[in-house]
Amino acid sequence: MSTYAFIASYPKSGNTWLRLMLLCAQAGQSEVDINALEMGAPGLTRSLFDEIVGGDSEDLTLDEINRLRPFYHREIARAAGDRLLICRTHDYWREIDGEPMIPPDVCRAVVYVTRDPRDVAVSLAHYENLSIDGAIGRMANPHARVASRWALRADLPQVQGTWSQHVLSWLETCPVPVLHLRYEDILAQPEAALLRAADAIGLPLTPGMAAAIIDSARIEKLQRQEMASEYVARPAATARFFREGRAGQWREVLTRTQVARIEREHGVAMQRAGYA
Amino acid sequence: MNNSGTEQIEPFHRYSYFGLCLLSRHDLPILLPWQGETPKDFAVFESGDAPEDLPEILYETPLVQVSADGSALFRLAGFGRFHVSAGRRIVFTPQADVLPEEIVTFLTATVACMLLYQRGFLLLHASAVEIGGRAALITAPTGTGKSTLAGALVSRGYRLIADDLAVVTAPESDPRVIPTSMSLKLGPDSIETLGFGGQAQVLVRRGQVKKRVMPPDHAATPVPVGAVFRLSALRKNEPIRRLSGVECIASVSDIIAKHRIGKAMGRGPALFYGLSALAARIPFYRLERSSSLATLDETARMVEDAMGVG
Repeated sequence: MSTYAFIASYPKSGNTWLRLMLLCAQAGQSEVDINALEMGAPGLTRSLFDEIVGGDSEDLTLDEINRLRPFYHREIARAAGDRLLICRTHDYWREIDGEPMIPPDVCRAVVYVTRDPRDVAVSLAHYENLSIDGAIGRMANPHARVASRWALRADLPQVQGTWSQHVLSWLETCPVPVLHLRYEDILAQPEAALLRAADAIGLPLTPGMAAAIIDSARIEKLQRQEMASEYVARPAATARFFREGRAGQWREVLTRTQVARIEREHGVAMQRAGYA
Repeated sequence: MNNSGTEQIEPFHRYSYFGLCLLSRHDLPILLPWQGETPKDFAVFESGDAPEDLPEILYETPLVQVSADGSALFRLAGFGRFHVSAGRRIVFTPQADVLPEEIVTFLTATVACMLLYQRGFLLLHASAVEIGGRAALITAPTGTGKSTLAGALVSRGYRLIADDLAVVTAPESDPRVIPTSMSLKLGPDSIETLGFGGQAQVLVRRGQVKKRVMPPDHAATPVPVGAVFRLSALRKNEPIRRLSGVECIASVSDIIAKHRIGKAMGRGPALFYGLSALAARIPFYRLERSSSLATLDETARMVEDAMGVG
């Protein structure tokens, strides 16, 4: 069976939370350990990329790196054999020089997580230390990247595009089977969501185990772990990675103008993802 | 050559290149000039017609080819390709308008690994600084902060020996690090924090955020190895820990430079034995990287302590 199960999403949409729970299930343990699980999943890291392609990604341009992605993913899949690799991406789905950046033949499934873009704007502003308007601008920027100074980080650069581009690319153009989950639904009925996700990627999971994992992954517990240990994924400048963990905060935070702007810029994708 | 009997030979530039004398018709930035006579065993860098493909390929990626005859190719579409042979010849074919600084960037990375592996050296993915007369080797996966920590130690007055690629000679008897790098590749925040902001910064690659800075002083002769610090991003509330046994050499590809290329050239066992020999002779530590540039000094102090200084 193919190797990769991608958990794809625009940033700040609940990707990490779902992925941590799935990794937990894969490890057969019910206790979420945010650092161990993060480090244990080989993802889009530059060191693995460099090792596989035989170059130094920090000396390459974004285009050069993107052109090497299909090879990179194929090599990892080849080395992994039958093993399931649950890997996160914030890339939007696209082709480079006519070839899908992530080869479909090494991907068994995608779980695509969306979150109401109005809440994404609030979360993004906190995480990236931007103003709300800055965050909204970022969500409308077709060149938005996970990290503009990616050569200084351990992750491979991932290009998000606009929020709309991101959503529509995965839900409409990805040739691999995509399970669409909404963050709000995961919050409301976490067990059902986790079981659906596990099923979509071919990961055995019992309802009992799902319940135990969800309990250990409650936002307060993740926050406690984060504070206790200096969570690896968190950029130094922000206060917390696991911040609020709820839906609808946008109603308290965004101005009417800001809401209107988001709804105008992303109306079609919002409808497609079930937010309008 | 002309027929009148007098040869018009362009003068070669001579550079210190990972312990070797590199002759080049081209003026290359960053590399230090070679001092003294040209040794019998020198290497040559020239532009010319590098092959697009090698015969009998043993190992291949879109960037790299290693042939059964030991020669190798590093090719970057849209930039150019380097043909490396016999541990002494590098031919470069540009595919676009490339800057000499960019040529040097690749010349001192994968291309250097190819040439040095052809000569059978032990290459570590590490930066090295001279502390108390001994080399502190800092190794880590890319993006963890080797160069930044090396930079912090340089700011504290120690001399740089190598950045990112460290050549270790005689690991089984008298391990030493060859002085190979007079520059540190750093991001803008590190440059600022470490106080290198006023210095000249040299381009690594157009559009890339890292730049090279040249510390004023650097090691001149091979430095005996004092310790290896494996820098880790995973925080276990354990700032520094002495490693023992197989822990020292776990995840060999994190510590050996371009390991797959070395293996393709038949150096696999030698690299493993060399690294093991090193681990048998000198202390290895796991070092947690500082959480921010603000706490970098603490980490640097831990390195000093472990090296028996400060």
